Amino acid sequence: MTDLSTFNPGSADDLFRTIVREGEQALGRPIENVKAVAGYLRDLAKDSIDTASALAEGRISERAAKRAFEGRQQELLQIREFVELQALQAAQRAADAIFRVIGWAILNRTGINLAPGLVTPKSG
Amino acid sequence: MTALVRSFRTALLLALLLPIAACQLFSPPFDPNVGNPTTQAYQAAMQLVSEAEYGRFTEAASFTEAAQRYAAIDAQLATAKLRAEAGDGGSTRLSRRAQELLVGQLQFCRDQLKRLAETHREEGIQPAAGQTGSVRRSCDMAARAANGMAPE
Repeated sequence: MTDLSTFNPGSADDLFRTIVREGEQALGRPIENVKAVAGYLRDLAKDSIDTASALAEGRISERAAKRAFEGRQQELLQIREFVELQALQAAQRAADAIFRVIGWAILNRTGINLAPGLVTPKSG
Repeated sequence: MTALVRSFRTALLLALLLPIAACQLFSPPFDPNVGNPTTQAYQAAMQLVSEAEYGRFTEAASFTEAAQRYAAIDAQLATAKLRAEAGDGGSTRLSRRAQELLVGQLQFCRDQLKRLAETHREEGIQPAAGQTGSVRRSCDMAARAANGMAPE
């Protein structure tokens, strides 16, 4: 773990790198493997810098800054679940592709369509 | 005799493969009743936060006018969520998990929108203050999740 008590990132890039490093240590695997997640995190890091500046300049209240921060905590939860869902959806798409092949093979051999959801012969 | 063997073989194939082919192992199929309202809500939310970043809502008073847009977006997400919950989650544990995760993604987007609305109501939305990004990202994930199984 990095000592964050003196952590004062100068740029969104700095912040992003630290988030990724800490996140990877916590997860035990590279975050960059999941492309979409890296994009979201980079964007999130930039927002965090913007909020800190806006708060420092007195453009937004502490209350609003706190709420924005809570929102980003929620986002991290959502990203974790999003990755899990994407894996399941990808597995289902793969299963569909496989059963489409099997379904066509059976239809062509027997004339019976076992997977009408996946195998859609042109009528007529 | 041969015909009997053949029909027996076909019946066996049917019995073996039908349950597998018919069932959603990892995720429920695409449901346009979930995907379409989510896409519409996503687009409307993007429009709203874009206007916010262009400085349209810097005053708290602007919330009164914007409130119905927040409500309209939330209503579409609520509809999508209801449909996602009510849909057939499939027969496997993983497929039901996928259903649960999709419902969660929709709720995350609703929560972020609500959070932004609170700030809007209290003090308006200042551009470039990192306040709208959470809605953008969260609802982007929700829209991708809701359309993840859509046919190409």
